[in-house]
Amino acid sequence: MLDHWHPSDQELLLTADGELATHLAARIRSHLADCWDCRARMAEIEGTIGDFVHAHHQSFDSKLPPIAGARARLRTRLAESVRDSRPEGWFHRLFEPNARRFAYACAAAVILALGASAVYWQTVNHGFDVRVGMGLLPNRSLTPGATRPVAIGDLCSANHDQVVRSVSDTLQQRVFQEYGIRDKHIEKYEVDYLITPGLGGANDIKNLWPEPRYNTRWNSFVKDQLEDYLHQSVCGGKLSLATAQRDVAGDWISAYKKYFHTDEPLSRSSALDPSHSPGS
Amino acid sequence: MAIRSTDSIDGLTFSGEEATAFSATPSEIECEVIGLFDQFRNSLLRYALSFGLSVHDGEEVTQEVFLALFQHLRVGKSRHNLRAWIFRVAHNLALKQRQANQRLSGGRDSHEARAEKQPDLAPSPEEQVLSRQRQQHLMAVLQALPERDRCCLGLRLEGLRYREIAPVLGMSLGAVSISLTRSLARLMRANER
Repeated sequence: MLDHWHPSDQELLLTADGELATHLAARIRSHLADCWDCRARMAEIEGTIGDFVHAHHQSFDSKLPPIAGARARLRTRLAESVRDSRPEGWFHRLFEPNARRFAYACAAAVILALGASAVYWQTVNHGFDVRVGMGLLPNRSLTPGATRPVAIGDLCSANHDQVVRSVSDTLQQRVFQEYGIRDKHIEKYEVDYLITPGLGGANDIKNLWPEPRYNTRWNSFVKDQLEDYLHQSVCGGKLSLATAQRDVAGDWISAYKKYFHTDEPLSRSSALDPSHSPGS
Repeated sequence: MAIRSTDSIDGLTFSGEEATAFSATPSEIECEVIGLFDQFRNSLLRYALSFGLSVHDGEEVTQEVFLALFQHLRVGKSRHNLRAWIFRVAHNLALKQRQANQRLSGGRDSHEARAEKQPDLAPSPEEQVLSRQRQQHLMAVLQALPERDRCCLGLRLEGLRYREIAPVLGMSLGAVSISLTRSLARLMRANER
């Protein structure tokens, strides 16, 4: 039977590209089996991709010279590169890969030891949470979290990612300013909701903070997993909305560990795998 | 968001993972690099040309990518997601080359330069005129896209997955998805005309 929901073009493209979480992809494929309108739209998308790929190849492929000449030139340049960089004497040997790797390892060990000591000292003497300093958790005074009045039925009438709205550029700029992050570093962060709109979070600066995208284990992608899980749990009646909001606003990393029974972030696919039941 | 990511998104950070064939000889690495060159050269050259570079400059960028790859592997750096690494280096080198060309040509507007270098389509029989016009129209739409969208589409066309495109262009997975959807919508509108 047809429902009132139809996938967006973005969801259709994600499905075609095999980039959607398993359960959502299954839902969309099931919908496509029912809905001729959406199948026609999917065919249009695929058709445009086909036309574009064809046009692109037509435009560029005829310009590509045969590979043989380029390969021969690369071989010559590689041989020259080996000849020119052959190390001589003990000084050069210091920079050979094995020696350099050993030096890096020693330096890293010293830095880690110093870092661990500093964290321990800070934590013991000042109750300082180093995760705030690293940007993994928001600064409480700037981002305490804010909710909006909302009915659970409204939250659960759509998938979590459909409820999430993007943050306006102006608001993002204000958040970066508040946290003292300069322009050249902003691409390393995603301005994220502390309490996601899918859990009733407000589009308010008190509910937004710059979260590291990469280079940390506990990054924005990991938090997305927790949000997806909490949204499903609230909508499935397994968890109250207030508890979900409190957990994610309090310390989302601890909440993740609690709900997923792990001390390490799971891969995205295993966190969303329907057979994986973190709450059980 | 509910986009799947089976690999670490920061797959291009080289800390932590070491080469599996750390003790490989230069000739073994050379063979491997040549194998990768055969596999990716056409894709990389097409990608470089999409920046409006000449074939000569595009070939030079491609050569530099594989020379850099050779050095990368020689010093035992990570082999994780080499495809994304290769495209990331190509992206940066192509941007640099284009900037250098613009400086040499007196800083002409990049759109203007790109428009001049729009690829010519090979002569076709009359019955293919309509199809050719449609192709030209699609390519014109491609050239008119914002640079980041164009790169995103170009990388996807060359077979990169979202999780590979994201670190090449410094975008999130969600931003990659939005960019591709936006570009596709423009191409669809152009296709309807």
